[in-house]
Amino acid sequence: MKIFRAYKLWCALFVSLPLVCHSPVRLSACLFDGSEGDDLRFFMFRPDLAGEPAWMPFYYTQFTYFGRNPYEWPRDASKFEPKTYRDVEALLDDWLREIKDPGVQQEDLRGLLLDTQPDSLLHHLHELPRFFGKNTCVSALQKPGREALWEYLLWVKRCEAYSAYPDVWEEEPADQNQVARERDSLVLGLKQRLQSAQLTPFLQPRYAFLLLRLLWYGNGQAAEMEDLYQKYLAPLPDSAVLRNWALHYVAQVTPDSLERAYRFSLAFDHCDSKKLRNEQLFENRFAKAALKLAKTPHEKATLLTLAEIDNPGKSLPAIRQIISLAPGDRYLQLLVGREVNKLEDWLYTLEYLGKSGTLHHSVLGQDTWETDDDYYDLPKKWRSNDLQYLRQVRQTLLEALPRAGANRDFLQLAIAQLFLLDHQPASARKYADAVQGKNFLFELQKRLLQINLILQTQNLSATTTQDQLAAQLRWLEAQRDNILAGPRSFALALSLCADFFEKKGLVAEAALLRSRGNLRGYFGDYSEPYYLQICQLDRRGSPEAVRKTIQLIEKPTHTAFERLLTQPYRNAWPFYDLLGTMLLREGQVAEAHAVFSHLPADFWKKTYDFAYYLEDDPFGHVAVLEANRSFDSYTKTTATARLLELEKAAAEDPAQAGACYLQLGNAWYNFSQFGHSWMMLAYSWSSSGILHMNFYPSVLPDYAVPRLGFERNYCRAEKAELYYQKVLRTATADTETKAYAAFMLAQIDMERQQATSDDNYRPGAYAKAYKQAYRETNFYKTHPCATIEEM
Amino acid sequence: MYRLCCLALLATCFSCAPAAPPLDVRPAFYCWEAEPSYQNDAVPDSLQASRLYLRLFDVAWDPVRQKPYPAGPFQSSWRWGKTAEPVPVVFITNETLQHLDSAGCADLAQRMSRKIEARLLRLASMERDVYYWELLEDPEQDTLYNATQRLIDTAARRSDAWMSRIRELQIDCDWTAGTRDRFFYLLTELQRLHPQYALSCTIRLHQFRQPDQTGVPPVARGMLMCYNVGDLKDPASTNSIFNYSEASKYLQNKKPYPLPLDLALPAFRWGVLFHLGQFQCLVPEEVWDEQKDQFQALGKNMYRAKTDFTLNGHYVREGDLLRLEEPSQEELLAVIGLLRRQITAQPLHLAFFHVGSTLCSYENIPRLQALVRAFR
Repeated sequence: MKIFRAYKLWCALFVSLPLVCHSPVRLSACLFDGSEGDDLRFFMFRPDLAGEPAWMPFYYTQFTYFGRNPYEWPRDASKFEPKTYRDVEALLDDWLREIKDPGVQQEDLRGLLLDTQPDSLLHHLHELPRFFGKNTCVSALQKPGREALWEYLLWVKRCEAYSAYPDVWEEEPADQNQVARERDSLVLGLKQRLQSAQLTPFLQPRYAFLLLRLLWYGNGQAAEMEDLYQKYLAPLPDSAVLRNWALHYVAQVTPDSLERAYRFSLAFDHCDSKKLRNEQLFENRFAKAALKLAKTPHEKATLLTLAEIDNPGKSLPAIRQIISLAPGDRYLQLLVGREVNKLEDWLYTLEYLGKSGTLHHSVLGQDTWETDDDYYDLPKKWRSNDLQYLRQVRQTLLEALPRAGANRDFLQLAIAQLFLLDHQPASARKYADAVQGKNFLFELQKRLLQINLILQTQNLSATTTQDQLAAQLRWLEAQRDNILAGPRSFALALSLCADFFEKKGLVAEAALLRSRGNLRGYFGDYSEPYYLQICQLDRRGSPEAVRKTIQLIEKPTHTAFERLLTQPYRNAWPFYDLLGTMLLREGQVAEAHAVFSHLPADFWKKTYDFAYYLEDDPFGHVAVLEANRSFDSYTKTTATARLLELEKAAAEDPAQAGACYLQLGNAWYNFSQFGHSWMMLAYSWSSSGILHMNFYPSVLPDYAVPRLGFERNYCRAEKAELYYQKVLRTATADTETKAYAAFMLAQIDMERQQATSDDNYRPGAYAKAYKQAYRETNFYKTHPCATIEEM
Repeated sequence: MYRLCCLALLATCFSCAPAAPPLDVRPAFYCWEAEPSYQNDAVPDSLQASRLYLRLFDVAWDPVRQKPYPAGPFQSSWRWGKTAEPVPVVFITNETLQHLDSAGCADLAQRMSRKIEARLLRLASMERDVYYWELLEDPEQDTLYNATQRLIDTAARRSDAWMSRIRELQIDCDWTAGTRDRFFYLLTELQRLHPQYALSCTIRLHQFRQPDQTGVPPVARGMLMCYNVGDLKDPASTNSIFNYSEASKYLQNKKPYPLPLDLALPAFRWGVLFHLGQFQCLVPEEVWDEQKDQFQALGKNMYRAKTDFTLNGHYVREGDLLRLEEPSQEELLAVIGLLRRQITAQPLHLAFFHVGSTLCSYENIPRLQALVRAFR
């Protein structure tokens, strides 16, 4: 039988589940789940630099939301959760000292004390050798002289059933009176034990703690809990684990708000395993007044830290206060780390992740969003204010440095990062070089600084520079699965590099750097692996940039940097397809055809979802006219070849011009968002509004230029409109063909209206012209303009 | 104004349409808050609510432990009315279903089933305790032992009666074509485990619109959720909670939905905060009411932050935009005109989402009554 179960440590450690369940849960069901986390926050300053796993819930970039992160966390994300905490370790050490048996393994003690369900032990007391025979701790406690310890351990397990719920699916018993009676019986028994004169100094506070905790679960009998605490637990040394765990419960029933805040701060400080819960219970509004109860500068620093720990805004006043009180205090690292991360986020998240700091009119274009002209300058104002704030923070840290003591190396790294954010690499290097401490996290941070220094100081076109960068990035890549948020750190470093390369005009390298990071969620709406390879260039690049990318991938020999960039690609085919598609969007059919011809004929059959959206005849079949599809499949090469043939035939044979233009019109209609072969020009389609789908227009007005063809020919089907108009103008075209073309012009007009407006369709000039000029045709009789007829 | 007039006219036209027979429309409410406040019960009572949909708990996916877990347990000492029929509701995230195979679904159904039963017993015991203390505080009651015993018995009877009023169990999930089979299997298992309850589930508008693609769940009834129609994160949306033109796109279904449907309408509001056109967070209405002075009104429902400040754990920058969303009564009346032709179940439970919002406050009862009347 499996006795030990891997329940979560804190759960077994008396931090009961009901406590945790009271914390806010953001699930929404009928409502939108509003928690977006901080998926896209930029950071290069590691928040875990202080090496305190218990601080993880308080990082500005919240790593606790493993599941919500789009940056492909390692599958075993739980390995980055702390497996144990200092207070728990101290408790186990106390036990080992008391048992005085060198044969007892700490893991066995942990398993018995913390990870064994009460029933598993209490139901098998008569068969201990069978079920616990291999547990060195159980065996040791059965030996003479240790009866009292064993007896206490049984009390622990009995009480646990009334103060912890190890399985989240378990429900509190419905009959609370029965539970209360059983709990009262235990309370009575514990009181009797506590009054026993035979209790050792080791066991007495432990029984007191058990009783105190049981009273808390019995709806908190404050006075009795306080008495127990004062009598048995408060006299223990400040560092005693049980004293501080007891404080966590006593604080919750302390009526005086300042004393309550002070006690929570002490429990927060001493109990790593209960840090998050103490922080949740701490009431910020009492922090300042509670300072008068704090006895040491460290206690004051703890109170100030708690008050600022969830502040998403500026915390510099608190940082200054802590520096004035205790510049070497460890919590300074937590607050300073958060402040550096905030500045990185405010100043650079939008820039480095590819969204510049200017507001696009589409954000404000609607009537309801109209505002003052100066609104458009706000990002500049934010940036200026944030830089000013950055300098204030940096100056404060510089002034604190001489007195920083154990914080010195950390502060130097923070200062170096702040200089880099302010584009002062020389000063940054000075402080980075001054760091003397040698541990892995410092090494990691120095390498991240080094990447930034190379980007800011060296010629990015030079092979030597590029290879230096490659070395740093490869090192980071190798650490990716072994460090907290490793994939995210790597992806953000690549994004940072991409931004610098882009600004130097090295667009192919920039695009491949971004793609290499696989920064999913970057635009929020794509996760298709095929499209992720090319999305950077599709959205931000030009045909010239794609050509350079193809050249880079197809180079016979690569430098180390180029190998880093091109490693994910077996060939350049996706980029050939993209280049041809970009040219086709602009109506450059011959050029597009030449590019598509580089690709094998079965490329579109075997790749991505092309086969589904290119398998109908775009020239002869229009879905709005005939329900049955043709199943004549085309590739982009054959389709563009046919476009060229039709164009040529129309020019050479005026008698056929009308029919040729009609087929060209059909083809371009089907290539647009309204047709069935839309993958000729786009890589995805959505019913939720095309204008918001393919290039999220919240920022970056510069999308407009490379996407002009996309807007005109994919979104608005202008090329189709042009060819249908040509049919109408062709003298040799028969009336039925012209009726067909006139119908399609009205159809395009209607679909444009429906795609861009919520209002009902109003027939325009095309529809009216169709009715007036062609109502006598056979085509009109089978395809009447119903909307016009109703008018 | 022009649009509103049109909508009102449209609503009038539909309300006058002779084709639809009178419906037995019964008001109901969703109680969605995890810890509802006591004073809210006046509203369901005033509207003579026939049903209260109680959110028991949610089921979400724990990405670290790779298994489903129950979240957001319902904590309440609220008295759930003397006559209204309680309908327990469990919400399950679509993400949870994505991770489960059929064995996982069966196991989850077992766990959910046990949790539902235990939680209902717990709620019933709370119900009993509340009645008991109410009766005890009555000055006309004597406190002799026998009298006290009688009170306990009375309270217990009422608690039993509360349990016996439960006839339906509802599962809420935004399932997709990809998770359809798993969700339907879960529903089948839950129905097998709870044969005493009629099983219902929520139907989103997209599921209502495309039953061929998303399937029809194997349940006795559906609850059509006629809200959250727009793209919340889109800065160009005018009202993601409800707007007539968006909703009407989903309601132009010619074939009747294959299940008898009840209907949920929005009665809540919230703010949607944007920074540089990027969605930041939802702002609960109580937070908005507290901090609205920090914003300057721009237009119809748009506000602009006057300065940098902290709002509900988010750092708001000067100039950030907030869209305050709430359903318009005129548009709701207009959509009822459309729905009146689509939904013909008798009786029809018209549920308002949700108690706790100021739109479900005592002052708003006339608005809610008007919506119920429009349906009849």
